[in-house]
Amino acid sequence: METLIFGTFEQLSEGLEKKQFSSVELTKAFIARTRAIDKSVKAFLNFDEKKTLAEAEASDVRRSKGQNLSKLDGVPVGLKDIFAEKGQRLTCGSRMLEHFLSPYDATVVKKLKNAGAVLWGRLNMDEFAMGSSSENSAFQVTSNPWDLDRIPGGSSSGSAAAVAAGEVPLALGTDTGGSVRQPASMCGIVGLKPSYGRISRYGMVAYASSLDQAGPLARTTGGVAALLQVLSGADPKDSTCARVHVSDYLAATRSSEGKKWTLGVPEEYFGEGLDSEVKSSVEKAIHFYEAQGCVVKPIHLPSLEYAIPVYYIIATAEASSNLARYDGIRYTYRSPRAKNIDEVYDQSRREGLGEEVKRRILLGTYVLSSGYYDAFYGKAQKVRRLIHNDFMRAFAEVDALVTPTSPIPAFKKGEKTSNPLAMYLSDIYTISVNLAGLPAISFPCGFTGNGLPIGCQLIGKPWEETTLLSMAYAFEKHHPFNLKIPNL
Amino acid sequence: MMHSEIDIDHLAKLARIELDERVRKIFLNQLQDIVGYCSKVCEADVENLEPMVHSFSHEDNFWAEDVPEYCEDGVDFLSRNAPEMKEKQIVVPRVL
Repeated sequence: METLIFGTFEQLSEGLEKKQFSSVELTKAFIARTRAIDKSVKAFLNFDEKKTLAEAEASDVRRSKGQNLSKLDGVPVGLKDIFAEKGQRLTCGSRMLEHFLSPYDATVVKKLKNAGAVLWGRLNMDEFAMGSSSENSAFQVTSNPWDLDRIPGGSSSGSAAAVAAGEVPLALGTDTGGSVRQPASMCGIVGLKPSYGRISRYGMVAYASSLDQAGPLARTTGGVAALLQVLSGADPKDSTCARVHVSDYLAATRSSEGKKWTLGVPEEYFGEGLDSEVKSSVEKAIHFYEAQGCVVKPIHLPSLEYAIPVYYIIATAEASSNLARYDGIRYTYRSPRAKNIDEVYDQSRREGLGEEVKRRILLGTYVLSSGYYDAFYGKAQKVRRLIHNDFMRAFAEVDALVTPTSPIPAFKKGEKTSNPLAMYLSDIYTISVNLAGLPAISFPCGFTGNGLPIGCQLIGKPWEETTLLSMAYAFEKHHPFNLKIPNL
Repeated sequence: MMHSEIDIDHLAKLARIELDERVRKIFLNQLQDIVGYCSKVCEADVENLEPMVHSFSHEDNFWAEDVPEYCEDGVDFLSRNAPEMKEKQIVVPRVL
């Protein structure tokens, strides 16, 4: 069973193709693994075994007739509990949506179904994708498979932990300020945040609409490429989903041999606050690229110091508007104490929303309120332009930027819960990518002395996901840190 | 400093969130810290820079027509998700 659950995407897809095992056998192996270990990992919020096995059976029937739909056909994929899947619960990690049933499929879910993927489970997350540790989930705290006392990162906590623990081979998360890359880094797997507009947001619960983007997670770059391939492309149901060319990402990943990229190393990402073991591992990755013949040059991104303030102004402003819809009237939790319409709003939101969500809604309300709008929200939009311009200047000289994904490895549960600002600072290296709408990938580049994974981030030009995938694959081929298995 | 001006009760009213006294006190302190930190944006030199509301560059898409879709089992989902239903209507407290 271990060969199956810790097989790479390529091995699983090929095994299905060559009929070495069926999709039902493969899916049953992941179900058994989940049943055996998820009591301690707590990556899954819920699952529908019968539905998933029916999808696996349908895949086997297709394959027996030679009608398989894609390389993903028959491969289990886990979904962060933020995507609508018709007839399934969608909680977004919140009491507010605890009993909500999706009336339709998100575009990404439709695309996965059309590709024959077997949808396995709904994965835990920080409430409404607001958090970096899973500790803001209303239902459970997910554990890091490498050390169960530590957090797995967030907000796509369940997606990253489930993949790392061998409960599902591929998963989908969302990334508003690093929520795919940071947990991927902390769990020792690969996670990609595509360019803004690469993947449709239709049917994905909104947190900050100008920053949110779905992203794939897998143990290998190939798995991430295969998912991106299926999910990318314009969608008439999302006007912010771009009509741009979609490459053959899996093929591009393999074509890295002998490529000599120019890489920028922004010195602002290697200063105060960066853990020494993280620094050393990322520097080793940079040396690897240099040894392969790449040109490595120092770059300045002076606006990094504004990234966190700008993010928390813009993201919370958008959240305060987006989350106004959770009012206790139509489809959300309603307080049983409420006796009039005002109490329905005020008390339902008091009881249905968690503390971090309330804190961000209040902050967003503040920066949008009369007297503060220009000083905070208006100013932050201009500084966002400054951050974007800094990146574009850098990309005139280099193909990609190399940085750590997170300044620290996975921290202990409860370590930062009483200090939200300290929690926000852990996203320092990922946030500016969302503000500029760029693609970025996190891949494993080493382990700390006490066995915690370390992630390296590559940031690319808009729509240049192929470059990032080839670069990550080039490293992965020589340093297969991602094939190490946590001892559970 | 701007953060001394936070009126948490007014914000809670605007955001339609009832706060109990314990949370109110914690939030007030935390928001003062966070807003103080966010005030850093005021230092940035943004002269001649246009606000960036979106990183999306394909603005022609914004004018695409929305095509409404009929959802066959929409009423069924509506009634299963609503907090209270009566004769296919969502029940709310009296407004008038």
